[in-house]
Amino acid sequence: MFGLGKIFDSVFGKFFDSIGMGWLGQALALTADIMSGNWVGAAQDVFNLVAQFTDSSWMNKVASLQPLGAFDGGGCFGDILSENTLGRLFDSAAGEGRGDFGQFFSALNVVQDTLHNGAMVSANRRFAMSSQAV
Amino acid sequence: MEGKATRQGSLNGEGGQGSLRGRLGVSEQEFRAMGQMGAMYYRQGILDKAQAIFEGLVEIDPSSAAAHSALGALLTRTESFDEALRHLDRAVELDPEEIAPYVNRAEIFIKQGRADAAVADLKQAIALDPRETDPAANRARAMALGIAEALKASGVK
Repeated sequence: MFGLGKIFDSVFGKFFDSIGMGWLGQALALTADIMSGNWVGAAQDVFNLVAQFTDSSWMNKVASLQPLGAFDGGGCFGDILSENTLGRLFDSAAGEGRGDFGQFFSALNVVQDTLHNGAMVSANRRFAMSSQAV
Repeated sequence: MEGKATRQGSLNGEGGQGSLRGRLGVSEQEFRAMGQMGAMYYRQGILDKAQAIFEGLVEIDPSSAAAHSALGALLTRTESFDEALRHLDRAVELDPEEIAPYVNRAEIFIKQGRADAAVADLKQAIALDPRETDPAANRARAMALGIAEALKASGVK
């Protein structure tokens, strides 16, 4: 364990902090004793894995949060989720029985708040721009 | 540097007339848009709102790998590991080609000291991105590098 703290305080440590993975050193330290733990058994696999990296360019493009998957790509939801769409979905869910869709109702409420706040921001922006124009 | 998934295809859910999502008439586009709104809150750290959306999506389409993967990621972030693993396992079952659930499971396994399971998932995530361009797979590479450096520092050759 002697060198573990050193590694995670070093240049590598800064790299891991910069990608939101400062927890890694602590997590490995928490495995009690990396030498006696099952990490030693997995060591060769890990070294082989790292040896396959072609260069270090991947280090410039690392997800800093736990990746979501298909929803990670971003995109514009405002064009698709309108007040009309939301009204239809609330009506459909109510028609099916609220008890079956408790969590979906909560999700719709968040979507509704978001659209409402977005509309407020747009209105405030329009108001500010029109005030400047006067 | 938040990750951008390289696979933007089907959400892998059912959405047919027989499913809850189908009965509610939620289109694939609407389903995706809600997921993206959840992702926005997730990136902003407004996790209660993100969780409400992802849970709602899982509720109406339990066969959506995307919804399980997103909820599993959020629960990994909040360290609700048992619940996270249930969703991540399901996401992998539904879409074995999606990288994110392997990466998040590996993180949990590292924190739990389950080396073999962690390495297996890191390998899988890395193998799915041979060009080294996917931010999620690169997160797996960073974990592998960190473990390798820690092992070397501990004298393991």
